[in-house]
Amino acid sequence: MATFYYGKTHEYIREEEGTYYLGISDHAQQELGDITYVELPAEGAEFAKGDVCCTVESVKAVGEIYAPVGIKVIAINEALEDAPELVNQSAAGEGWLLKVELVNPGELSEMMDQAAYDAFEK
Amino acid sequence: MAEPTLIFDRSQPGRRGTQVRAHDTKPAREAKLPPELARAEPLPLPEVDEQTLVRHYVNLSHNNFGVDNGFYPLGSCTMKYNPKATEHAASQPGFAMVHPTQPARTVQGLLELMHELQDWLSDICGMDATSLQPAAGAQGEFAGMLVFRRYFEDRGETERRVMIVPDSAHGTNPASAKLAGFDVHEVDCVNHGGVMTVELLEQVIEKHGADRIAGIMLTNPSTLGIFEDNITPVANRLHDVGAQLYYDGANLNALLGLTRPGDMGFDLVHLNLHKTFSTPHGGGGPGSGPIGVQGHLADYLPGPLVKREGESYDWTSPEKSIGRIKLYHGQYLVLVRAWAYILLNGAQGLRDVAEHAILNANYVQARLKDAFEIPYADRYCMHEFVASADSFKDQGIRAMDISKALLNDGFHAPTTYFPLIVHEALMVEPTETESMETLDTFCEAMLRYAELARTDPEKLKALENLAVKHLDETYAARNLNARWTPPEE
Amino acid sequence: MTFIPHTAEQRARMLAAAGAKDIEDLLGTIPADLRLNRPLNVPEAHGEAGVCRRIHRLVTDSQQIALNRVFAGGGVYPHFVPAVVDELSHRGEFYTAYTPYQPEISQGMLQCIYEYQSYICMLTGMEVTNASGYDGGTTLADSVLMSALSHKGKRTKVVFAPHVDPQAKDVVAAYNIGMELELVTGNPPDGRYEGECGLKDLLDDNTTCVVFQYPNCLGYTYAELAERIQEVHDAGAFAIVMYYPFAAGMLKTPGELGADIVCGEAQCLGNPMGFGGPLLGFLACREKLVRVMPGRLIGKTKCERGDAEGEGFVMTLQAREQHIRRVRATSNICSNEALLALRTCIYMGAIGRSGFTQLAELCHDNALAAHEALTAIDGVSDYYEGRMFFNEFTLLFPEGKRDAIYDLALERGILAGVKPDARQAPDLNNALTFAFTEIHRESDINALVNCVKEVL
Repeated sequence: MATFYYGKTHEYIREEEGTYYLGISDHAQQELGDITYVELPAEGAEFAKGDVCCTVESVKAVGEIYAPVGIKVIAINEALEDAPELVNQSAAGEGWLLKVELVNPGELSEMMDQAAYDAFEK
Repeated sequence: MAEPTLIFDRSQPGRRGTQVRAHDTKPAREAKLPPELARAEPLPLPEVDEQTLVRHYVNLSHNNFGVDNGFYPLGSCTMKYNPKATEHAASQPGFAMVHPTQPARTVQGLLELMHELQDWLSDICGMDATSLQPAAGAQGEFAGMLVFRRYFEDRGETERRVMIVPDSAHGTNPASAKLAGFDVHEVDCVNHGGVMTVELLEQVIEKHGADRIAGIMLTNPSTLGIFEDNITPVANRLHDVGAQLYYDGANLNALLGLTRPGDMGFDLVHLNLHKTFSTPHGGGGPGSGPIGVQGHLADYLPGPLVKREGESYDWTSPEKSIGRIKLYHGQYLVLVRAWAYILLNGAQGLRDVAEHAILNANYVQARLKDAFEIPYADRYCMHEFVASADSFKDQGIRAMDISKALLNDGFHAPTTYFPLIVHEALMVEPTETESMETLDTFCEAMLRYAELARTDPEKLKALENLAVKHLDETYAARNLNARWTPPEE
Repeated sequence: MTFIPHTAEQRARMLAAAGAKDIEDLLGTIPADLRLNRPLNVPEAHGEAGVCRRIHRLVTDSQQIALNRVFAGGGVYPHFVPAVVDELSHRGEFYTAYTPYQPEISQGMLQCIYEYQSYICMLTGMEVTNASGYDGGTTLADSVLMSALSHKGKRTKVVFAPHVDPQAKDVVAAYNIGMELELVTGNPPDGRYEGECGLKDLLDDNTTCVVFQYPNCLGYTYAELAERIQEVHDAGAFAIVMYYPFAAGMLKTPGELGADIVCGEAQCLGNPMGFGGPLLGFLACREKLVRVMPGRLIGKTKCERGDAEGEGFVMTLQAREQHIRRVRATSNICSNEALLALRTCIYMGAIGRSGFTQLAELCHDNALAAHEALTAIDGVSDYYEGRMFFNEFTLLFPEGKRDAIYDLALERGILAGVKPDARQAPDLNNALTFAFTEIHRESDINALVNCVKEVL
C-alpha cells in the first residue's frame, strides 16, 4: 500500500513499505507532453528542499523537478534512459524518478496528501 | 508521403562529379604527411554526376516555402521581401572574392561601406556609435550584455549583476544575459497587463537592492505590438538607480524614421539586419546583429570597427573593448545587403516602410477582429498584433490547427503560442511589402477558418493539400537520427 | 516607396477599413515628445542603377586581387566555388525561407541540412553535429562551454595547446567574460610546439578540456596528436579539436584520433571569402554530449499516424534551445548559417568522393611545390624545421624583410600569406603563413617566389 505526499510544484514522495520514491504527478506529465528525456542526478547526491534535483524534457518544454523535502539519492530509475515514456504512462508507478532517503522525515507533514493535492490541482 | 531519397542514395561508385580541376589532373609530387595521420581510405562521400545533383536540389527546393513563394505573417520575424538588387550587390566579386586580411589601405571602398552603415544605423537608432561585428541578433544581445559587464567593472560596480527580463521577452534575451554572467530576474508581466511598469520595476529594485540592478532588456513596441507607454518613466527610474536599458531591435520595423530607441532612453540597442533591413533568412541564417550604443558605452564595443581619419578609413578597436566576439569583422556580405537596402529606400523610404507596416497590421486587425478574439483590438496596433484562438477551444480548435490550415492553403503560419500573455496566441506581422490583395486573401482564409471552427471543425483539420504532415516529433527526440551513415559492409 | 505595393486608392480604402483618417492617426500611439522631427540622416533613395554606380566606385577604390594570387589562410581560404553551388543556393525557395519550424513546408531545407549534418559527421569523425554555428571562433567558444557544463562547473580550467588560432582564442576570451573559466596556454619555454607541448604540467583534475588545432594555425600537423588526446582523457578532461575540414581529403579525422568535440570553420567548403563573412562554424561531438550541444539539430522521423506512411525531417531536441530553455540553455544561438550549410552540402555532393581527394591532394601538392621553391632561397627558413604540413606552412625571413616582401607582393597583385599573430612568439614578426589551394598553378607560385627573391 503506497502513500503519496505532494508538493506545490507537482512532485510526489511515495512511501511504500518503508521505501521512498520521488516522481512527478500525472498532472505534471500531462502538462509536459510526450517526455523525451529525463536527466537524473548521481547516486549519493543530496538535495535540500527546493533544490532542482532532476530535469524532464518533452518535445516542447523543459521541466525542472524540485526536491519537495530534503533528500539523499539511493538509486535512480535506470529504465528511464531507454524508456522515458514510462513517466507519461505511469507517473505514479513505474515512472518514478529517484529512490531516496529522507534527510528530515518531519518535512513530509508540510506536503499535501492525495485529497489536498486533488483539490489543489483544480 | 514517400520515403525521402538522400543525395547519398543516388551515389554510383566510380561516377565523377563537378570538375573544379580537370578530372585527370593529379598531384606532381608524392605526399609528405605523418603516417600516423595519413588517411588510408577516402571518406564515403557520394559519387553523383552534376545533372543528378542539380535535379536532386531543384526538386528539394520545390518542397520548400520562402518569402518568394508566399506570405509569411510571422510576428516578430519581419519576413519582408528580399530585394534582388541587394543580392546582386552582395555577389559582386569586388566584395565576395576579397580575403579579410587584405590591408586596410587596399580595401578603402570596402571599409567605406562599413563606415557608412555604422553611421546610418547609429542615426536610425539614435545612438552615438555602432559595431557591425555580431553575427546575429542573439550574438548582438550577448555582446551588449558584455558591454554592460565591462562598463560596470570599469566603474567599480561589480555588484550589479541583476538583469531584469520580462517573461514576455524572446528566449534569447534571458539566455544572452545568463551567458554574459548576469543573474536573470524574470518579471511576471504576463499576469500583470503584459507591459513593464514602474510598479513592477520597484518590486524588483526592492528585492535586490538598487545597487545590484544592472539593467533591463526590453523591446518597444512590446511583443503584443503595442507601444510601451511607460518607457520614459521606466527608463528614468532605472537610470536613477544607476542601471542601463537594453533595446531588443526585433520590432524596429515599426519605428523606422518615426521614433528612435535612443530618444526613448535606451543605452544600447541590437538590430536584426535579417528582419528590419530585409537581408534574406536563408532557411535559418546568416543573420547579422549590429549593436549601437550611447556615448558612455562606446569604449566597450566589440572590435574591430571602422574609423575615418580625413579621407581614409582604417580598423580600430575601442580602448576598453570587450574584444572580438567572432572571427574577422562581421557578416560582411550581409552588411552589403543592408547597406544597399538603405540606399534603395532612402530616408523617406525608410519612414514609408514603418508607416505601411503599421497600416497593413491595422488593416488585417480590423478585418479579423469580429471573428477572432484580439485582446487589444480597441486600440491601433503597431506593426503586429496578437489574436487568440481561445474562443474556438470548445470546438476543439487550437492555434496549432489554424496554423496548419494556413499551411494547407499556401501561406506560412503566423507565430504561435507567443507571447505567453495571450492563450492560444497567433501573432501576425504582415510587413509593408505585402499588397492589399495578399492581405485580403489571407483575411478571407482566416475568416473561413473561424466559420469552419463553428460549423465543421473536422474539415478545418483536414489538411488535404499537405503532402507531408503529422511527423512524429516525439519519436524524433527519443530515437535520434541526425545523419546518414553508410550501410554496414 | 521602393518595395511597397500600395496604390493611393488602396491606402485610402485600408485606412477607412481600420477606422483611421490618415496614417498620422495610426501613429497616435507614439507619444508626440518621442517623435523624430527630421528625416533620417541617410541618403536619398537610389535606383538600382545608382546603387550599382556607388558599388562600382567602392570596388574600384579597392585593390582586386585575383583568387589565384591569394596565398592567405587564417580560417578563410581561397578555394574555388563551382558554379552549381551559386545556382542552386540562389533559388528563392531556399534563400528566402525562414527557419524550418513548420516541417510540412520545409522538407526541402530540412533534408539539405540533414545531408549537411551527415557530411560534417563524416569529415570530423563525430556522431552528431548541429545545423551550424556562426564561425570557427564562436564554435570553439561553444565547445568550451559544452565541456564546462558537462563537468557541472566542478572543473574550471581550459588548456590550449600552442598555436591554436589567436583570433579564435580572443573569441573564447570574450565569451569567458561570462563563463569566468581559467584559460591557460601550453607554452614550452622556447615558444615552440614540440613533444608534449608542456601539457603534462598543465593537466590536472581541475582541467575541463584541452583545445588542439589540427593542423595548427601555422599550418603544421602534429603526429602525436592521438597520444596527447589519450593523456587528456586519462586526466578526465575533454579533447576539443579545432579542425580544417578540407584536410579530411588526406588526413585522418579528429574522431579517428579520439577527439570528443570537433569544431572549426567550414567556409572552405563551397563558400566565398566574402571579406570575412558570413562564415560557417561547425560543431560536432560524440552522441553522449548531444544534450549540451547548442544550435539547431535536424532529425529524421516517421509519421505519427497509421493512415499516413513514410518518413520526413524535423527540427529535433528543441528542448536544448533558447526558445524553450531560455535562461537554462547552453547558449543563446537562434539564427545560424543555414544558407552556407546548404552551399557546403551542395559543394560536397558536387565534388564527390574522388573529387574531394583530388582537390585535397592538389592543395597539398601546391604547398609542397611552393615550400621547396621558397626554402631554397637564401635567408628563408622553416618556422618549424622538418615538420609536416597539409596546405599551409610558416616561413621565417631575415630581420626586417618580412614587410618589404609582403608589400612588394601587394604591388604585384599578390596577397603573400597572413602575418601570424606575434602574441604566440615574438619572432613571428619575421614570419608569413602561406596557404595553398587547388586553384594555384606553377605561374602563381613562381610570381610569389619572385617577390621573395627580389627583396632578399
